[in-house]
Amino acid sequence: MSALEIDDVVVTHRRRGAAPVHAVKGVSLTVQPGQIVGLVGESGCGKSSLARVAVGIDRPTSGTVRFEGEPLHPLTSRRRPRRDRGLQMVFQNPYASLSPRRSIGAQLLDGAPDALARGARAAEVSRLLRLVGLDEAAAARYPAQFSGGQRQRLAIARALAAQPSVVVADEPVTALDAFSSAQIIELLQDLVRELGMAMLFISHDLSLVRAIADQTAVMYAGEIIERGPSEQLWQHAQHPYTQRLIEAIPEIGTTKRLPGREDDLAGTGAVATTGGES
Amino acid sequence: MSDTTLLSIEDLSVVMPTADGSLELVHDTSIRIGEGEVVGLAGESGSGKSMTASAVMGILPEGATASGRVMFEGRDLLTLSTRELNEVRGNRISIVFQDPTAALHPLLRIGTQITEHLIHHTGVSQKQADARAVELLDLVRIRDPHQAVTAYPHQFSGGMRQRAAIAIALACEPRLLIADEPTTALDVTVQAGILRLFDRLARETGVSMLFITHDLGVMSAIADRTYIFKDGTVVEHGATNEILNSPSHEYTRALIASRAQSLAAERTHRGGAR
Repeated sequence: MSALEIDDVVVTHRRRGAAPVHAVKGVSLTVQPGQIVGLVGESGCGKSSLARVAVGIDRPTSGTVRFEGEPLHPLTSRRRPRRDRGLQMVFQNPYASLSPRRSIGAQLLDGAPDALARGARAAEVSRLLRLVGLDEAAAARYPAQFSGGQRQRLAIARALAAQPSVVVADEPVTALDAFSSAQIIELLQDLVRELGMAMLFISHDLSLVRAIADQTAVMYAGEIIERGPSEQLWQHAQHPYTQRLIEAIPEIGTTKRLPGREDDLAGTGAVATTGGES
Repeated sequence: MSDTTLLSIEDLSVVMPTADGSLELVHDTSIRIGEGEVVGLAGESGSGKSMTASAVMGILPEGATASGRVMFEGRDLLTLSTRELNEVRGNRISIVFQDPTAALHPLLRIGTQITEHLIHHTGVSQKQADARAVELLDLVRIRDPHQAVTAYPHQFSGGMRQRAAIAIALACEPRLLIADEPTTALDVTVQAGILRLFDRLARETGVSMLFITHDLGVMSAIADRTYIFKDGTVVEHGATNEILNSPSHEYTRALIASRAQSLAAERTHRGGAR
């Protein structure tokens, strides 16, 4: 049984007085227990729309999402069914996903499956902080007292409080510098291995996805255009768009060499036709 | 590389008072930028690279003070009054930031934002400024510049907005362009285009650049020489690809090892990929 199974999902955003946006055009993707699947694509390709459907924040226009074999219940204002709490998400901006006014110890257990006795709470908070490589003294502090990389560790710890079997991580290291980013990548790999979770890792950066994911899927204009084992895909990319993504990644070279192609020099059209994110 | 020095930062320190005593954000740092040269500052968040650029531009955060000298065109920028500094920045030295959406006014047409800047600094007529705005958008390779001057920022993609911000920065033909993580928020293919644009502008206009990034791959592509920052000070500097291919400082080696490419290579080596 797959940990997460996305089957022929379509997401169409309908807007009053404008043409509908076909964000996701029939995508199927499965993540097996213990596996990290990378989903790579650039702004506006539909990966975030797909991520929101994959965790049940949004309802797909058509298609299904199964979590451990059962259909996922889209989120409502009511508390999530207990079973679905084993599916957790980590976002790009940890500062937005942590409450600035509550101490770490007070908010880390928000997603815990069972109410814990007072003594057990402190022990569980310490366990979670240790899992993400933070000192247990962090429990008494507030989000503003941590660096960007540490805040992302806290956001991961809070997701782990729910004892998830699947984590969807949407651009979890994009806001971090190279050092912090490398540390979070290694942490996520270790956690998946130690806790036997499955992970869908979403990023615009194919070199990051290659570093963490077992399988990689490349998304372009709402569709998956190429997929395969990460290293194989990197070494032998078939689709022109995947090849273009790889060429655009700046590498340390022996001489000054610009990434991309000569025709990248020019901007693409005077006025963007869609309101794509920046 | 050029022998003529355009900007010389000498023994710069930046100190910030805090509740627990004063904090030294930049310590005794010296940097030289030659005419027409692209110089890179690399390091992790909080290493002092952006703070050094802020000291040059006179835009340090509230309460922070700079000591040392920042010599540009025969004057020490640290000793100038706000009025004197205003004649230098935006005019002789300009800056491009990471987030072009924050740098552009959302309610003004792109053309207006360029002409306002030009009229303020150079006193040209509206008609001359209008013509120059089109030229500038053409210079940053925005297609159909006559139409683009009438557009609002929200009608542009992220990469196009950054091109517009670069056009504004180049409006007064500065001698030095400071670019602070200008491609960090962009998609890789868009980043490739902006890097190509910076490289072309340096060669076409002769503008010198101070390029700040934490991505050593970007640094390798764009900078002639690089300074590596750690904890507010320069730990290593030299020709970019000499430093990156044979780093002499342990910290530079650690930065290189933290790149995604290095992680992936190590993983393949370990046979970790399934």
